[in-house]
Amino acid sequence: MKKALALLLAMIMVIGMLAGCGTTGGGEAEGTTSDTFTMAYNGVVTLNSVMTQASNDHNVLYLLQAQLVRYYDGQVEKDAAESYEMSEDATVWTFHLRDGLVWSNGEALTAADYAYGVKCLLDPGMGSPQASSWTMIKNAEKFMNGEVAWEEVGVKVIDEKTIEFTLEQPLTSFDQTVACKHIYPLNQAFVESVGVNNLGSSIDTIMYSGGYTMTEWVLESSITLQKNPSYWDAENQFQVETIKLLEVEDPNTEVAMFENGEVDAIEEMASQYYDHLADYRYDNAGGGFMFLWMNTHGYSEGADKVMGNVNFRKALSYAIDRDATCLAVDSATKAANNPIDPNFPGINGGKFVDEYPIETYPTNGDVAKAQEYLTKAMEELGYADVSEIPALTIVTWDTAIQKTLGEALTDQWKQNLGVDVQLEQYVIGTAIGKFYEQTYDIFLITWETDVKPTDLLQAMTSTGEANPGIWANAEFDQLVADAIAEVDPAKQAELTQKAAQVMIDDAGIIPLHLNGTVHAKKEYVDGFVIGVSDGFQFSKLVVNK
Amino acid sequence: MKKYILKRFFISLITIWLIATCCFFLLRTLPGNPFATQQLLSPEMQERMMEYYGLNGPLSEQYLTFMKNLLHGDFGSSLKYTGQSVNGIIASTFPVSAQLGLQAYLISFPIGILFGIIAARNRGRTIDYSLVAFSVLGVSVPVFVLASLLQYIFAIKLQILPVALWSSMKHTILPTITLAIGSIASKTRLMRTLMLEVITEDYVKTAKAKGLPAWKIVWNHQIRNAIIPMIPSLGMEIVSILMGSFVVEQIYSVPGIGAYFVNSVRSLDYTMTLGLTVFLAIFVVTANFIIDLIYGLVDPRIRVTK
Amino acid sequence: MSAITSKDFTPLPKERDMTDVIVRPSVSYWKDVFRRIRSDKVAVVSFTFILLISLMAIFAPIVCQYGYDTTSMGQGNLSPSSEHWFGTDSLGRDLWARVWVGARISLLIGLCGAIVPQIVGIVLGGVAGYFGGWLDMLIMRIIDIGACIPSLIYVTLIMLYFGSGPAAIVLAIAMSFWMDSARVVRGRMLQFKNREFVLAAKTQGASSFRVIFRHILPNILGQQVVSVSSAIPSAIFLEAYLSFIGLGVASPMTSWGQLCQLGASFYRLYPYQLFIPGAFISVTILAFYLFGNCLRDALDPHLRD
Repeated sequence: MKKALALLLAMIMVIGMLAGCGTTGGGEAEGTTSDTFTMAYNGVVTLNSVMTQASNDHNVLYLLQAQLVRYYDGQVEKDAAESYEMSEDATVWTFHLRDGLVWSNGEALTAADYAYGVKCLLDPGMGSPQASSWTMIKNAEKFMNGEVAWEEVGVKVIDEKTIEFTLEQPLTSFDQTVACKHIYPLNQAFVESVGVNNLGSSIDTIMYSGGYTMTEWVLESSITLQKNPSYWDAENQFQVETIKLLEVEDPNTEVAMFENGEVDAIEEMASQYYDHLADYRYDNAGGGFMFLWMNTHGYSEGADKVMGNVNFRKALSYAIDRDATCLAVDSATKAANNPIDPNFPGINGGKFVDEYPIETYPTNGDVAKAQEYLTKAMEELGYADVSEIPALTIVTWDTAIQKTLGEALTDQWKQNLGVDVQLEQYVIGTAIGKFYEQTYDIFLITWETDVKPTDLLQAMTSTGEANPGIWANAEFDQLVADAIAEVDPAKQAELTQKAAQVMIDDAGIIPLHLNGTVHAKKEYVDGFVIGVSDGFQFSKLVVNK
Repeated sequence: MKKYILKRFFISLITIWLIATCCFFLLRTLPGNPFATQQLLSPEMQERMMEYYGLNGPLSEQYLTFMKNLLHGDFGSSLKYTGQSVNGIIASTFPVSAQLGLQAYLISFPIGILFGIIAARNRGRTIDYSLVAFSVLGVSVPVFVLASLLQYIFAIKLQILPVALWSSMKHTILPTITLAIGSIASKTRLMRTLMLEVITEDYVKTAKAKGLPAWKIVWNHQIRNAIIPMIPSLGMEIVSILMGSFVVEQIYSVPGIGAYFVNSVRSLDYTMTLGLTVFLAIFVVTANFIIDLIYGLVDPRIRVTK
Repeated sequence: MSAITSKDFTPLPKERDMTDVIVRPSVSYWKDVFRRIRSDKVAVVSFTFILLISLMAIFAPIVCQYGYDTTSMGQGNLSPSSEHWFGTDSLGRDLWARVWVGARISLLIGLCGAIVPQIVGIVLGGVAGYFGGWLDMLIMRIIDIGACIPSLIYVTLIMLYFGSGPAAIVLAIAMSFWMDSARVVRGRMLQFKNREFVLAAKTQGASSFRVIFRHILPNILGQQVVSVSSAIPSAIFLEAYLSFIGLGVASPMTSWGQLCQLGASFYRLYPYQLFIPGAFISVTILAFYLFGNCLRDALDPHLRD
């Protein structure tokens, strides 16, 4: 047996030496030509533009379809629409299509195709999960509930090249909504022939109108796109001949392939490798927030009193050192103390958060103040000692970042306040189920910031889609409603600022950080633009290899 | 014999039906909703989706529909991957996993057996110790560490094999070896143990006394008897290779069935989980059916009495 | 010839009876096993190592100055030093403390996960193999069915129902491992029940109970001890595998598998975060394996003098 051990050691040493020597650094793999762009990209679930609910799918659809308008570098850019205008009261928007728009099979691409695309999203018989994003269109909600016919809905085809949207309320940023929420054309005859459920399930069940056509798709493995010569601006945009998207889940593998030159870019890098690939780093922060949702009714035994106490909630918020937490958990994220995305422009040329600041907690926390709030809360509730506070639960789903973040938060509450909070993680379907059932004291959740500052605040109101009824503040609801209805930008901004202030002061929803992604790209890739919330913008992509 | 085969076949059918039924009801009693995702669809919207996919009706009715489709060989369509039929996904991913598993098995079975025999025949010598050392090392390193290590050495440092993906024979080498090493190690160990037991058996002594040549004793009396106890675990080994390959598939980005299985369970994609489970069950039940017949034929001491 | 009467016989002295008495104390089977193990150096060393690891798992976290779940934000990903013997993880938690707390979970899951299903397997497999008939049919059908459902299904279902505690993992492991050993035991039982020595015992009127426990079980046990020794690592691995797919013990609790898994995703940057817990897993498994092997040699009736 001694000999066996000695041999074992020897084998380990040999392997260790093998691992230790060898050449360092990665030479470029041969055979890749400059007209191919390969990227590690994960999570394409479906390319059915009606049924998708993930931004990962929209990114690929961006490459396959010509939208009316789309984002480029933070600005709304005209794609299939040659021009568009809104009526004076901002309730009617008219889009004029370009000449010579065609589907990749040669059929003409008309306004009717875009109108049908919207119809599919709203049609109750198709069950699109995106339906609720378009309720600003006149009668859309009624159509969704089967109360009115399609003809009553505010989407009209004026002629082959003109489509008109009528809205429920004035909306000056409808073009941004269209760009952000995506309207893809759909050919009615084609959709009906393949069936709406089979649409986009393989390369043969999609009609292409965008910069690329798909030539190969192996689900959860790889997607190959080929330049579409019939795209209206094929001459100037989407110059890369072939785009390959490879699904690689393991972070080591992804980075290794990047170093070996097997991929030219990584769409989402694992946080530990940020420094390792610092030279290729391309950061993106924004597009969504990580929040603590405080269940003001409490769930754990005896928790209704503490969770209902605003000072206690504030104590929890002040006790967190957000800067350090972000750095430790994922340095791409940015500590947040304001529910308004710092990327939003203000009305005077600056950023909204700078022009309309609010009074809030410091991002590096304030333990003394947190303890002060805790003492106050305990006095109000009649607790003599921290140990009398009932044990609370924080619920979230089971991704890696949620796990480390949860661990960091619960430990800071324990260290700084002595408050015991139990972390519970479930698979996403179960966790979200719990979110609606309200079986938690605190819920850790992310929410997208969308197009304007009020979008997120609206979702947080007592009737909003992100609020299952765990926190309600009448003043906040009113301010948000007023801000949305307000047409004057300055007044609207002021109301928004007030609403954000109320939200922070009542500490029902506590922002933790702004989400972030880090991409990696080789130095020879130019025009690599990925928007914060609007995804791929590869129209000017070039590979100079 | 014919009667026995018929009976076994009938039992296999019932087994599959039981698995399908149990899984159907177990899965549907899980808490949560397949449409509850990070995008936070409102409960009404989730309801609407459930209705669209026919998941809202009474469970017994859904069960009958499921069974009817199953009889026609139709596993339904995935809830997560819109428009993808479970049949289609199996058709595209199973061959990949099967190839990986088969390659690993074809390497590990003969090598493992051979190593085991060599070790047992040379008990106490250096070769025995080195094989034992290998078998310990092989089973003590978790597969994700082994996979990372092999990838690091051969793909990143030496750059003689591709890092990941599954497009040519060359791409299959690393995943196959990763999967095979653990299997070789455990087979070596098992075979060595079984051989050592057999070597001291009376019939081996008798054979020796009869003056049979050594190779004949080894082949007819030792190996044959030592291999027999390994046969019934073959069915389970198929399952474990298929499942164990999940980690390997993930690290090397192999488009196999493992990832679908794990993800479908985690995202509560009922139809997918059910379809994959029933498919694998059919596969394994069939394999066991065949193995059972072989087992009866190989070991003369086990007689089919009825 | 006169008849033989009692007078013709004289009683032997009482001392003569003593010749039948066995002077040396009888060595029972298990005593013999114990004696063999004690004299085996490898067994003693590996057993001592296992004992040491277990003792450390129990006491090290108690005396350690850092809590296993105490984060220290600025101190993330520190290499091993005199301050933090095994370094720190990304949240600045001391890995020395975490490794020993992880050892508790891993050892507990390893031991329970190997022994519980083995007992169930021996009992059910033994009964099925020995008695045959409808009982065998029933148990084998359950195994057939169970073996066809990938263990991941039960594991996930159990985790979803009972939360992700160590008990749920043991239950999950037990549910997927018992069938393996039951099947093997049944197979061995079938092999042995028609053997000559069993037949001999039966003709002498031994009860089923005696035949199973006295005659067949000792023959099977050696094999099963080896399979326990290989089931401990399997159980530890299954736990690690569960961690890998995100179904391990609930945080902030940890296990070697989870530590390894966290370290594995960026082992090129912080190798110690993978290799320290990895080394613990490997060496512990090695110890269990070697000890199991020695135990096998000691238990095997074939090797008995």
